[in-house]
Amino acid sequence: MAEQLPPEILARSDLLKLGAAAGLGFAALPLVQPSAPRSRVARMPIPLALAPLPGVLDLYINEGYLKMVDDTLVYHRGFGSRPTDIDDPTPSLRLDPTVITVAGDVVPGRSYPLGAPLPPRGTPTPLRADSANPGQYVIHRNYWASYFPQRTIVAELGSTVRLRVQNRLGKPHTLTVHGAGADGGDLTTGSIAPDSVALLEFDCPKPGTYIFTDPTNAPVERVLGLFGVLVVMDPECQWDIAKDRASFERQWVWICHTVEPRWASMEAAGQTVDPLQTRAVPRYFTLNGRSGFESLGVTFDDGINLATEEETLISGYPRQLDVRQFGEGTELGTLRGGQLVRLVNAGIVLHQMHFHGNHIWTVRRNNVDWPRREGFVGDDGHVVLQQWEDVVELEPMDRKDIIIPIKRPPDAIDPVWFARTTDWVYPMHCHAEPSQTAAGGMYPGGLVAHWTLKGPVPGAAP
Amino acid sequence: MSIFSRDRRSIRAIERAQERAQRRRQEEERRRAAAERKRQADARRRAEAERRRVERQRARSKPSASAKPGASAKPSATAKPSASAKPSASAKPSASSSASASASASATASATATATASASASASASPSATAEPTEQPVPAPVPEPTLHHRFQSQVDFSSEQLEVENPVTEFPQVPAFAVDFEFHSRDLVLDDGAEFEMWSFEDEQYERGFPGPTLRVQEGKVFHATVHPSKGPHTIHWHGMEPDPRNDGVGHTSFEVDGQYTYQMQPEAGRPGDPNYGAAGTYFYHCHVNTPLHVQMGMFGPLVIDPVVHPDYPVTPGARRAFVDGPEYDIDTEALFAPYCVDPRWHEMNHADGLSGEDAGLNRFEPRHFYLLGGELARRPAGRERVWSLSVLRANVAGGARKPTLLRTVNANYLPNIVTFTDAAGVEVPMAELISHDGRPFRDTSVPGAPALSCRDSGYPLTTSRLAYGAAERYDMLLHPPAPGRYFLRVDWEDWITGAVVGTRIIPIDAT
Repeated sequence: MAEQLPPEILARSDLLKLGAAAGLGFAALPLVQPSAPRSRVARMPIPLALAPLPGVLDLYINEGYLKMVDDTLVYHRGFGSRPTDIDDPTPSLRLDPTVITVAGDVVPGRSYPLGAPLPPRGTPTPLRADSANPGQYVIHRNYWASYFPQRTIVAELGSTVRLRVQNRLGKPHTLTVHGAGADGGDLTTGSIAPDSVALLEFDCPKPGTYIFTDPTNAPVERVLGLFGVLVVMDPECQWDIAKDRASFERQWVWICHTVEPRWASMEAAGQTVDPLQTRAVPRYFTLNGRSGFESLGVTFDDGINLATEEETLISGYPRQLDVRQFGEGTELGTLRGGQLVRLVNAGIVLHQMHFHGNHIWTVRRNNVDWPRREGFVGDDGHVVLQQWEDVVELEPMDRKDIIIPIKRPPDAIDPVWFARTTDWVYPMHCHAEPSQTAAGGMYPGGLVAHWTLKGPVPGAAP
Repeated sequence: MSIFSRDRRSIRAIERAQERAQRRRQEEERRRAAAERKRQADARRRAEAERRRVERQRARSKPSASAKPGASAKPSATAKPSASAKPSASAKPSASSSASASASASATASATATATASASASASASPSATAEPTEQPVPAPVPEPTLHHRFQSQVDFSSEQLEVENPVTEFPQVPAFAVDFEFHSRDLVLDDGAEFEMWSFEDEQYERGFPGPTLRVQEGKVFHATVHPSKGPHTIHWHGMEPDPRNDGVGHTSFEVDGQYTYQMQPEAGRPGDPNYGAAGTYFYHCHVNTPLHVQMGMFGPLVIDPVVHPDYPVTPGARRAFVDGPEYDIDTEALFAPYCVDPRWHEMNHADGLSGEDAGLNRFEPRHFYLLGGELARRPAGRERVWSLSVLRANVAGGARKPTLLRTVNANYLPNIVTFTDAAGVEVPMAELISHDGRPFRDTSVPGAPALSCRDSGYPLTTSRLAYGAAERYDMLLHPPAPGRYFLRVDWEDWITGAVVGTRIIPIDAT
């Protein structure tokens, strides 16, 4: 049954009637009468911002240039939070993180759960020292909020997701949420003509991590930047992957991507890339939109460094845990568990995410829980069983949920461990090593991060 | 057979000489720059040391909490090291760690006093239970700063990694096993006849060979490896081993080594049925400087961690266990293979190519030659300039008197691989039982608190004819060929974007 939304007055005085859009439905409504396909430069005037609607998240398909880690500007398209044009010095090409609540509110913000304390510089501080395990700490359960990176929508289970998408570019585009349908299929706006708006409305899928992209001419539009991530949380279990699944201290979303400047410049020039004809040669590799020293938070830009620490650079205090049960600790309000990392590969190369310092525990792939018993090897040659790994294979469009224990590095000798006074920092990088470069070199300038095992808290009783 | 003609080789030799001269010049320039940076770094370190000293003094002047391990927990000059570095054979966390240094730490190992019923499953012990330090007292060193510096640009970050001439190994122990590795660079002929400039690590046994020497270390025992870089700084990262950052071998979280450094670690001992402990399994080590290039050039080697022997899991003569409570396997036929491939263009590059911001094309890895390195572990040929290549495997037939064959694999490659076991007709044979991944056994972890048995002991062995894996992953598998005869191990290399097969190698497996 189609839902009738109220008429909307646009600033440019075009009357837009938003049409049927319930469930899998969509509406692609031209703001102006479509004429013959026009080139990007000839399209005038540019449509202006949509007037906000309660309970609706607006996304703008914009274009512009983004600075790579070596200061090269590369043409991008993206689902932005505000309308911007190609010559905008700060184009909106990455959706600002947003939370959609079960009550129907669309809340701009980088953290979830709403109202939970924000971890200082991204690091959840512990409850207290663990007197039973010197050098370790007792961890808060169900306490700290998590920061989310750009391009992330957090939706609460039970909510209705309403995405209104304005295509501000000269070619048709689409927004498709992969695997979020009731039957596990895709949800899509269908093709959105230039200067048109579509509404995609759907019931929030089960808890998990979903990728939305523009699948037009796949994977070209995705490589150009038209992608994002939908994280679904159960509001009754805000620190669990899902009900009765692993609990975590805080969570991180890591979105991997690859940038192909040749494709970008061809599309910027009005051509359409044939991905079979023009083989992709990625030149930049990003994690949450950053590479190299920016992704490691060691720039002279305090804003970048802080955002990176809050969103990407895992950190926590050492704790005792048991992989057989990520749940209640030895006393109420404490957690015997680690931190959740949602690995998302929105790019086109196969990544091999390698963690130094701690093996990680992989719990699910593409929202399907891996069993703890009666595992098996799938027809594709992959083991389906919860397991320790130090390298996590991440195919394009794959999502894996892993728990990083944040425990004492097991092979450090006792004297070094007990004399520790500082943070211990361990790299995470992709081991498909060409991804460690930027512009053909500058190692480590690619898809890198690190995680920090925080040092002893001064004055805390061990 | 060589893909290069003799003429080509002599021209190459001349070019090489020119390159070497150029490299020497570059090296001298680099060293001058490095010396300057080192001076600056030393100044920073001195300032940092001073700051820490003041902090420590301030901390000491405060009354310390009684529960602190305190003077006894901190390694001190009075700590009496235990002479025996024996692996703890006890499944129970023992509080017997030798010196008073760790006595108070270990004494608290049974951390379950306040556990609730639901959580009592877990928390078995502190990680110190099996560590038996044999400490030689040294003053507490001041670590180099890690990630405390900021950089103006990616080029600065790439080209200004902290190089240290001779970093100090903190709290050096008496090792149960120690090796010395030199860097070497040689033109080597691989098994398809192609010749490439290769860089790798060498010791006296495996001189100028490739891959680097095979290392076997036992859980619970302190291990030392001293690296002596040349032609620029290098490090050794012990991939999958998890020591402190100084011993992790990564430049930007610790230091790159100019002169020499002794890496020190103690592989964690396993405990039967406990999925939280144990390092036994297959690993590799590699240089972590300009990593895409240095690893492709060959700066890696295999590392095997053998388990402690537990009294409940005795070992038959001629056999070993893959992990503490793991299955026994036949030492005689134990083998390792490592998929590796070569992009010849990369083998014409220099140590620091790309680090100064120039486009070295290191984002483009286009291999033309595909290899399976390795062989039977008991029979790796020693000597000079040997390339360890896999030509044939032996496997013990399932159900026979001998223990099964253990096949270890290290993916020393940047592309994804598919491994397939077939019979002579090319039909897939599910003869591989996967038992470990990345140095950790596959276990049934479904019951909190209950022993986590290996998959095979839980009744569902992970048997397969096919394994998909990629860069730097390791698997251990038992082979169970159903009948005597010839089988095949096929390895396909896939493009990292399209998944198209770009290379294949097939190795016979003779089952008896």
